[in-house]
Amino acid sequence: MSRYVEVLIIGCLTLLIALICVSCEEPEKEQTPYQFDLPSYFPSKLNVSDDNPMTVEGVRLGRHLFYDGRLSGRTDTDSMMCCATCHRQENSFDAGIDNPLFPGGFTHGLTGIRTNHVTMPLVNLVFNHNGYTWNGSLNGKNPVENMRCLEDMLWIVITAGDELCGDTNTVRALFQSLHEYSEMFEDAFGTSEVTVDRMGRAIAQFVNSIVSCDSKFDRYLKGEAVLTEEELLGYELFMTEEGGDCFHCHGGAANPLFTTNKYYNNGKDSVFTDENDRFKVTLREYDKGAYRAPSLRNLKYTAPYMHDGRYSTIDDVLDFYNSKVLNTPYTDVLMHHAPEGGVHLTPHEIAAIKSFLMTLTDESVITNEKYSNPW
Amino acid sequence: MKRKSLILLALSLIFVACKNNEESTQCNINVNFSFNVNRDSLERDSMKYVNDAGNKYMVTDLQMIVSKLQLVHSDGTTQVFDKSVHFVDLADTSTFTWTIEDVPIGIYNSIGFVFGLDSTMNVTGAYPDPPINEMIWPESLGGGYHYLKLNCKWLSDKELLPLNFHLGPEQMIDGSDTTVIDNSFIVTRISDFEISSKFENVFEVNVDINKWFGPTCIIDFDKIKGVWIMESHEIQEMARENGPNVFSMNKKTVK
Repeated sequence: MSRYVEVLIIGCLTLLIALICVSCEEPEKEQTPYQFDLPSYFPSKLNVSDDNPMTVEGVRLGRHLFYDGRLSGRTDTDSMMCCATCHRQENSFDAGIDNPLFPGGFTHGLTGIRTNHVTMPLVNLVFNHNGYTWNGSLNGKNPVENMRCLEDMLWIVITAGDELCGDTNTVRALFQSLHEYSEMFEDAFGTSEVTVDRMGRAIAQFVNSIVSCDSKFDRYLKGEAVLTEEELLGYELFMTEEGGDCFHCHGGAANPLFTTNKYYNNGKDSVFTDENDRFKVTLREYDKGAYRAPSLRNLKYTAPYMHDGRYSTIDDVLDFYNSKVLNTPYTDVLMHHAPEGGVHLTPHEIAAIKSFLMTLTDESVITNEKYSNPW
Repeated sequence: MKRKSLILLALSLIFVACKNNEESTQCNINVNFSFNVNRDSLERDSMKYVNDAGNKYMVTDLQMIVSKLQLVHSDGTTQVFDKSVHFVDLADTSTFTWTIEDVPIGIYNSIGFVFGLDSTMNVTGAYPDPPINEMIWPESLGGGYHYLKLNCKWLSDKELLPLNFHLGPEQMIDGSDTTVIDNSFIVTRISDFEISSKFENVFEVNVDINKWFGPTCIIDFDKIKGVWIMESHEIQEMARENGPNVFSMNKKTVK
């Protein structure tokens, strides 16, 4: 027998023994894969990290963490802050203009520093493959290794001066000491060890579980509801270039997320002073003043509008698109009504578009117990 | 017994290793897209291009759909990869390569693909996942998907204006005519070539942006007001005439 075959056989035997040993180990607790119940017309390609598959146990742990004010690393009532402080279920996981902590919906961190932008609603993020936040800085191509995916968000939020302004060691130690979490960590990750990485993974799983697919418009698409004449006219205007021309950035029946998740300069300004626009991410000159087109689902609950919350009502937003759009070299080409200052629809047509937008209201997101505060 | 098992295991490994060395009957082909204006590589956001009508313009974005790669074999049979759909985005170079898997090796007479989606594939909601779902085409104009979104800015006498050169199926909604016009077409390269697992099979598709605007049908941005064309049957027809000249395809030999 040649030396080569001997080595090959010994190698195979070692592998065999290792496999037998592994299979004889005490089985870890099994996690239950999380299942979505989505309409047929919804995207099926989910943005779930390969190394953080969604499980029932992970989502449950994430939900508890999402609503736990001790995420700030502090336990006195005045210094508690968590994801749900700014992302409230009653506001479709946005801050909301009626937020008692943040007048006008303008959020700030524990130290009082205002966030760069107003919050974005945390709904249907599992279908978004184009970065997170208003400028998409949290994306898979970010050269900074821990600013690439939803799982990284917790670390950023804990340490940011305009958010929890804490430190990860304190937060980890605090949660390791909380007995009510031991079993949840064990169920979700196999052991009760608490790490900020695990916490971030669990919260990402919960956030990814928040789905809106039960608005009146969804029921219309499923043949379970009828739209009024005004709502149908609004949809027609929403979907036509010579009407409101909303669909290029905000989707429609065949893109029921009601956003492309892309970034556009929609002609609000002619001077750009915000250092956190899309330009910061791409360094492309024409991305100055560009921000993500937000989903129009649950628009009713997500005021104030635009990245800086400059508009308090939907009427203000529609008025802007109708007659106040600026045609600058930076205004996105898709804003092709910009040279005339807007789409110039009649009051009747504007009212119809608003009626249609209201069909995108999904109360199930607001009331669904599985997204609610478990404490 | 143990010795026999070990020999069996070793033989199995050798068998697997040998199988990998056999020549495959199928392989992958790559279709690589590149963009230019006349003979120069397209420079995004650069106001330096002039079309046949004399309009000065720049390209800010381009997205398009290609589909149904088809090969005509030397024995006369045609193989259509009827589920193949590819989205190309000027802003994302990773979309510039369209890989078709499991193509039978052999000698072929021609290769082609559909620009856009033909009527059998262009069904509203057929592609609910991003990025293709951003190409939706309004139901009132026939539904389905944009085949092309070519977004430009151009200089009129007075100012910088947007141009949304968007192509797709069109429904004649004026009057009673509700016929859907399918503006997709087939891009073909006719010339014998071999598909083999012995070398990389790469086809290069060059997309000449300027040819969308002429010379077959000269599209003057001034005359069309340079803004939107989705609802213009006339411009969609002109673009359909110009389209086949936009694409050229060559086989690249990579040993």
